[in-house]
Amino acid sequence: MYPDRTAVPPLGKGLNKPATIVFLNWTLPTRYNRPLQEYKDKLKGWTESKKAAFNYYDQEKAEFSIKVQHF
Amino acid sequence: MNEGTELLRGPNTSGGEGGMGLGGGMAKTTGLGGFPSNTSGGLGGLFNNPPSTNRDAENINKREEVASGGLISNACGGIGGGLFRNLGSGGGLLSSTGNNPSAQRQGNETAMLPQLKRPGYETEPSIDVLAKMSNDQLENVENFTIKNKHAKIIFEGKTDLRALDLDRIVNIQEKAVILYKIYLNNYLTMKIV
Repeated sequence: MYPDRTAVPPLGKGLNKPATIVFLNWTLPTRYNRPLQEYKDKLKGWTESKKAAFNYYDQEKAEFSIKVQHF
Repeated sequence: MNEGTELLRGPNTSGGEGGMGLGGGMAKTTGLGGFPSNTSGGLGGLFNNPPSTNRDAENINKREEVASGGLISNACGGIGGGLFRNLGSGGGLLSSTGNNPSAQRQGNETAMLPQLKRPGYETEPSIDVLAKMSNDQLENVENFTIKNKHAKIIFEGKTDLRALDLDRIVNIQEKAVILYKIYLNNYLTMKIV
């Protein structure tokens, strides 16, 4: 998970600090026909598996936002 | 080997320019085993050219006319820091300033500026605005944002941007953000279909 650990500054230093990430052009998978909420739940589950917090998924803007405490 | 290697493979097969440039740089500076350097063209190829042989030096000189010098310094070893360390055959401008004390001082101040040369990336405040800031201001940049077409990253509160080599630290790919080579990716879309 941390291929080059030495390059990572301590928590809070450099860019290793809390950040909001907004993925752009994050469209639904092609031929996705299940409820939107189910997809959001999947994104949420993935986000939390990365120890990040789910902010939102906006289908119209095609944005998916999460918050990380550090990298 | 690790997830970072996996990421490098993606842009090389799909032909993403930014990814290739950084890929070459990472392979150069970290010695990632098994990086398929021969598959990368464009910027990646540039990074992989050792400036030692005459033929390569000629190549690099040719490219410099197009590439405005910055990439050449990177190619000589290490992104960013290479600008002042590596004064190879192509570094006429820099090597001449290196011997001048006043230019040297200016060089040190410039070194405190965050480096961002890769195409497709923007910051808020912009690099131009950051370039006018004092070191004190660079130490306390509110809500610094870096983005490309795939994602934006907003750093909350004050960020110390002094001397950060953003080219090397930040890599934003489609549905993937890498900082300090840590891999944050999502294959959920593939799993769901």
